[in-house]
Amino acid sequence: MQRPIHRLGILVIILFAALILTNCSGSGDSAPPPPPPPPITPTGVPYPPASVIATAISDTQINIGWSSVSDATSYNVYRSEQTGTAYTYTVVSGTTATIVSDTTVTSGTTYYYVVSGTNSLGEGPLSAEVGSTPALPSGTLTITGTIKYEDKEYDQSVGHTGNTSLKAVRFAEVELVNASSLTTLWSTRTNSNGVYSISTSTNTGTTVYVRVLSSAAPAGVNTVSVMNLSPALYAVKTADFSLKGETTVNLTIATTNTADGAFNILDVLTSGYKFVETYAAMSTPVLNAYWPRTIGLTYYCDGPVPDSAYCIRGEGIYINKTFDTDEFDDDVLWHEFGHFIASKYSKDDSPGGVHYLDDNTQDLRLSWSEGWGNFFPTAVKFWLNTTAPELLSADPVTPLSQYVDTETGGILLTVNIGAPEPDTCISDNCKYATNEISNANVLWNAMNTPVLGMDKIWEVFDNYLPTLGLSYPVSIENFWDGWLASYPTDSMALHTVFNGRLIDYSADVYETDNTPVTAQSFTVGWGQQHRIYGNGDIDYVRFTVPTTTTYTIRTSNLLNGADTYLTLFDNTGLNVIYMNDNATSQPPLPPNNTTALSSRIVWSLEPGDYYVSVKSSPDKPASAGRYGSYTLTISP
Amino acid sequence: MNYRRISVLMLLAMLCLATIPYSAAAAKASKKPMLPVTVTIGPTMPGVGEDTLQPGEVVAFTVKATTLADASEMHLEAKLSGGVELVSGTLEWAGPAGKGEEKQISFTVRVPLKGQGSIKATATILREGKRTVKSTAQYVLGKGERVKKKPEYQQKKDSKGRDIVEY
Repeated sequence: MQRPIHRLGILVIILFAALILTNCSGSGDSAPPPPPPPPITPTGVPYPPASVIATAISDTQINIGWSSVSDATSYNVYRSEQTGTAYTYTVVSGTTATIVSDTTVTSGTTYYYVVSGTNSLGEGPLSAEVGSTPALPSGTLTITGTIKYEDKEYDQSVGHTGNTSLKAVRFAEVELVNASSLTTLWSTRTNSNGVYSISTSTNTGTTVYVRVLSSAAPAGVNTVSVMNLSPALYAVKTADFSLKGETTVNLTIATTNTADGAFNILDVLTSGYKFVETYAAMSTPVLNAYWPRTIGLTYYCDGPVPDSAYCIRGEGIYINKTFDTDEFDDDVLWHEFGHFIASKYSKDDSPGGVHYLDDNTQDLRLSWSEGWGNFFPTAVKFWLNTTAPELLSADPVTPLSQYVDTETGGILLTVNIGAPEPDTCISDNCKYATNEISNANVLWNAMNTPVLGMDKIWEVFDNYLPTLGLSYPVSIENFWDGWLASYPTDSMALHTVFNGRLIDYSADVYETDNTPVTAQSFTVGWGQQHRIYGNGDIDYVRFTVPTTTTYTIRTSNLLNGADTYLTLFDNTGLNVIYMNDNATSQPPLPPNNTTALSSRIVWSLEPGDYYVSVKSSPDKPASAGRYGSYTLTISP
Repeated sequence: MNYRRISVLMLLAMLCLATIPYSAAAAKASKKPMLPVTVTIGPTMPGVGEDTLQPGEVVAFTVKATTLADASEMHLEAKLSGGVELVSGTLEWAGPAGKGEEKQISFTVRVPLKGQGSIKATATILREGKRTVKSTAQYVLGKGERVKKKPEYQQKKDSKGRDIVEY
């Protein structure tokens, strides 16, 4: 019995002591321990990390470190090979460390790094940039030089003028090759000035040569390459030379070199990449150009799968070289590059195929696609003129908006996109939404209207048009809708630009006439010009028949892609007497043929009142639009 | 029963067609802009090609031109050069041409006995008395001098194993 009593006594003592300790601790009661403090909710994205340091610790590794940011939960580290721009390569994403290593570096190349912090509210601004250059291994030999190609000048009168200029081969792959074994000893890329630097630890006295390849990485990561149809890249080599300490080896590709054209194509497409880089959030994808193509015209093929007709090497730009040579036709190359950009950033519903500059009954989708293609060279040149005018190939007198396509010994085609009349276009040939020059001119004038501008064009092109569903093929109609949805206050300025090409997207003077009750009276024998604009727009008119006669009720002069649907009602405006979609059974060729898509009802009417309604055809072909204008006539 | 099966199959086929993504359509080629007049030139007889023509041979050619728009006047012309001789026919035509209408001239020429010559065809249209638009096409015939030239380039591989033609 003693032992249990003893145990009980000890237990009491322990509990008593615990009670005393608890009270002495000041907690006051025996409640459960307090919950952990709530997580700190950030009030914004993290500040950019400070004290960023990049240190090359070997010829193959750079370490990047920074001070932690209080409200950042992780960090992203980006890299560029150009200072101040194009941080398209991600070294690490979402790391919680404050020091990381970049082991994908080449000695002798300078890399630029920025760091950002992230938290639950998103990613913060980029830090200040730091740069580092991994040192060359000891005992290496260095070859530096500049690589240029000879470009041909053109104008709007004679085509190629005979003048030439040397231009840098930019961002292109360069290799140092052992002239005996033909093995590549080192590879690098030229910079924006065509300058390269190659290092090698190969023995002094080895015979080598330098070659430049027709493949560049203007966007930092993705390449643009020019190949023949084999397909093989073009390469131009220097003369052989012996390795020694430091050597300068320049390379100039003259017009007498067959491969010169490939390097102009590469340069033009490189400028296209740099232009897009100023607007696009993502890096422009890989592109292959194939030259020379001796069958068919120059074209862009959007299909990844090769076919025997056009895409014989899959997706890419195929450049013609017959008597109509295009390798030095910068505008033609940018036109096709514009198609490539549309397929990657926007949405292009054009059926493709041959098209003519002053056809104003074109498929709306084709007009937009080719209009964008015609505008694109002018946009790139306009940008180059302010950033690097030395890269332009046209003589200084030729307007930036001039599109020139040369052929051997002259000009195949030239048109001033900014002012197409009267040199290329007459009357209304280059007007309306159904003409490609008209579409291009709208874009050119929008770009040059201060309150509008290229930023907004790109925004609608890149962010609005791709969201359109299958029922809304991309055309200038949807570009209009997208612009107004994005920038409603631009309505007036946009109207002015569109009306310059007789494209009027607005309610007509007879609105509102969407019901029989609000129908406008119509004088038989006269004509009324209406516009179909806005979702569900129906135009009603009311007319009176004095004596029993056969009447012809028709729509005509269909413009801007209109396709009408005509309905005849009795005096209540509710009971349908007859309806008609297309006046003839003629297939709609050209797509927006104003006769084929017009409507006509021939009907014997007794005296009394009648109603007619016109709306956009519910069975319109994809080539036609939802909007457009027409003339309504009712005659005995 | 069979009708019902056929109907079900048709319905399934329609559904399949309807669900084919838009991007699954055949690849398209977006071509560069063209003028509203086209001209082509070639031997009149099918099967005759540049490779089959022999020096001194007499061959019939046809030049065809089409205008996309009404032209108050179209001028069609063929110019011979480099020893190509006209044997018969006319090398010029002029007159009005309607939209989509094809006009043509035919003639026979003798292929140069030595070297290469060419026929360059030009179609010019005048519209509303104001503007001229010109389109050209060329056909080369005859045997070029067979000089064995050293190839301009060498086919090699680059450091990534890609084919290159090195000049």
